[in-house]
Amino acid sequence: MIALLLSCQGPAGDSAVPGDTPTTPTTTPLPDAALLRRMSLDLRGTLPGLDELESLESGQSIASLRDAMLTDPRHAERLVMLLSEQWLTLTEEYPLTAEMVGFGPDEEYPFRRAVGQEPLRLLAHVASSDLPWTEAVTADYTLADDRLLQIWPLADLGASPQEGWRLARYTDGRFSGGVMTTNGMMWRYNVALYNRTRAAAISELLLCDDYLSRPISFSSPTLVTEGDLNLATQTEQACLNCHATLDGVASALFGFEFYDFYSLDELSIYHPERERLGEYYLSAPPSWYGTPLDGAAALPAAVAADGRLVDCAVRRFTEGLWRREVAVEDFAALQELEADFVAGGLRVSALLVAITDTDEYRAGEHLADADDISLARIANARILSPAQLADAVEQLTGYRWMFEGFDQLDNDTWGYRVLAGGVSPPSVEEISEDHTVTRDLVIKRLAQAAGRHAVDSGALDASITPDDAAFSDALIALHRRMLSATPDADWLSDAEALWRDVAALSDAEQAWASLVSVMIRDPAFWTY
Amino acid sequence: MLLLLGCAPATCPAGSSPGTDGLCYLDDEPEQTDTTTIEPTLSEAEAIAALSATLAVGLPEPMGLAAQYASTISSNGDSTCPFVSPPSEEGAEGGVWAGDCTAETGWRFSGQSLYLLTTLSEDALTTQTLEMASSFEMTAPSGAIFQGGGEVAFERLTTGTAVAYEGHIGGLYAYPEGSGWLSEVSSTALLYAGGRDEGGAWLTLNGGVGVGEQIIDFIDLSLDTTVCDGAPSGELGIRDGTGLWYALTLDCDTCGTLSWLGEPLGEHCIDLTAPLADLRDALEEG
Repeated sequence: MIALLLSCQGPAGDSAVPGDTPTTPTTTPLPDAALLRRMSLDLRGTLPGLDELESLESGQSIASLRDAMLTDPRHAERLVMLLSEQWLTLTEEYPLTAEMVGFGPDEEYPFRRAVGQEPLRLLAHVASSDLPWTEAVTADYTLADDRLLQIWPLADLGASPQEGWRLARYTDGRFSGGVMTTNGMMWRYNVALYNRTRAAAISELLLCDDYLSRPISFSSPTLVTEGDLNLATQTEQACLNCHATLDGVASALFGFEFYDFYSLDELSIYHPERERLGEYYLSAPPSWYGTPLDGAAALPAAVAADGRLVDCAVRRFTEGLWRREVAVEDFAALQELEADFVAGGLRVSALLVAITDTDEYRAGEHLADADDISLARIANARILSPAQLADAVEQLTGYRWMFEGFDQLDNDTWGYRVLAGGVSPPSVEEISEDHTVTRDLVIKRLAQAAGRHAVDSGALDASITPDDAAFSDALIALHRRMLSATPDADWLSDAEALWRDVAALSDAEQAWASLVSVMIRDPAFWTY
Repeated sequence: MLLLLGCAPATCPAGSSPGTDGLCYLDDEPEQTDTTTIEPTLSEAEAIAALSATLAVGLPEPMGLAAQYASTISSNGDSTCPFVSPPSEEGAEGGVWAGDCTAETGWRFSGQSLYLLTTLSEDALTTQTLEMASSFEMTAPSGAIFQGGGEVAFERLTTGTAVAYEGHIGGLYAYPEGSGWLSEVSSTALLYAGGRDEGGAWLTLNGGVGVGEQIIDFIDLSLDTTVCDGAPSGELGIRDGTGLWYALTLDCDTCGTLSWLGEPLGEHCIDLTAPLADLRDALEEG
């Protein structure tokens, strides 16, 4: 059940009723070139190519360009990072380090990311391969890279749908539950509590039913022993509010229960002999929201048949592309999107097409008479996530900010992911949609290094000077690559002046490096 | 699906309808859980035979594991490998070690382990507690590996001829060169509670054991000479290739009803005498 709680106070709550979506546009539509850039960054994580921009300007429809993006291999890569903002599996905290499982210390980052990406890769595979979304919870396979194939009980199925990742199947007798039964999920949501954390994660991530949001009010009973706690979860009304359903799901996950936090085998191998221990520890046989299950193996079918799985997919993908949480005011819009999703056979590509066709997704400038609610709700300019920023800069300059083998925009042990506005699970679980001082500092350092790298690596031809006829064309091409727009005369004049000032202090290479750096720092680049 | 509104709406949005309580309910209620009928891969006879064969291997118990662990270190380790920090507690033996080393005997010890076996006596009461939290590999020069990863906790109180015990063993413990269950069991999670006095003996088992491809479990399986003259009650399960379970329900009898997905099949008998007698001996006296 998705419970949408409305406040009775405040300007929205006074009049808002589900379905009460404003029908009068409050924004101008984004120009086609800017929309192409937004779609490319959202669906592929990269800037559109100059050839795509020219095709658009030559009359090719944006819909056909979008269709091509959805079949681009980079689409799956983008989905991995988009979903990571919601699934929060790219964490810095796992029970085991690379060295503990037999890899070298320099493999810590790729090992961590392999573990965290496993569930995301499976979800991205289902989405980008046009499989019905229910496959996400019923698939009898996963995706694994060479490291995971080496340490986990997996059989390589031969196909490689994503670069460096292969289809694989667990060989330890676990039931086929798609993303729910991946080790990546189990390692991420590994807090004990008899699998209740895992059950709550499944509920929140797949059904958008967050147990932690449920109201709890009770006078404190005596909860000294584990027995007291278990009794309370079965008898106290406030506890039953969650545990009456949560414990049945947790009970179905006891095959993943481990007794040693530092044993690779204990953590990696499914333990079917523990499957029915939930009845002992929780006094609850496996069930799905009150409906008894014929054992753990019946869980995937129950989840797939739950209508909330579809509701939640619509909500999550919409929030990912609208860059905001949806609210009760969005009810009608979500219903329309869900209708398109269902009509499309629960293929995520159909849903993404529908979302990117919405006025809100295509929002450009706010109209002068837009009300405060619309101004607050609709993101007419989105900020690049750390992953989008890293990919776009690498595409442009060839530069990837690495240190000690760690991607600096994708970790918080050595890097700056959270400072750049990203999530850092489990401590920071929401991306920042605001520009902050720390984000600005990260972009500054990234821009400086990337600008220099572009010159040093030859990604940018630094031999061109204002004395060359090609200089102006080079500036225009650079502007179009970065911003998907042709610069006006004022910008060209300012850019040339900047170039000349820096060259006068240094040389032509530094002038180009500085120009690229300044352009990366320009909000027009890191927003879309 | 229910839409909870802080204030009851005057009208419901498209796709939902008002309930008698004034709240809006989505028209597309979630479908019911799919209860597809699944056929087992084992026949009834095969299930019972597999259950018996798995039980015949013997059931994991903590004191036997502890004895194997202690003797492997004392017989094959040396003064520095593994370097065991002894316990400071009164009556305790064992200790803690961590690392990766090769002893003079050629045995290699890697991992980390806490092992405490404590015996305290006061008047006529003797309390013995075993605590293990470990993840280790002990590799013989021959290449045979004694592997352990998991947790063991066991407490036994003895006074005169009476004994009471409780504990669990959970994890992966295997030693092909060992004897009994340790040489064949792949993974386990067993919880015990039992005892003996002049009135009789009792034992309750929960949890399961994996031996190769065969997985069996116990749900409140008890043998109590004071209630059923020692005949078993409770449930034994064997996991089918489908991932679902056969269940043999016993009620003060060695014979009971075998069921599949809650549907009763036929009556079957199973001999628990030998495997559970060995287990009881180990738990009471090992």
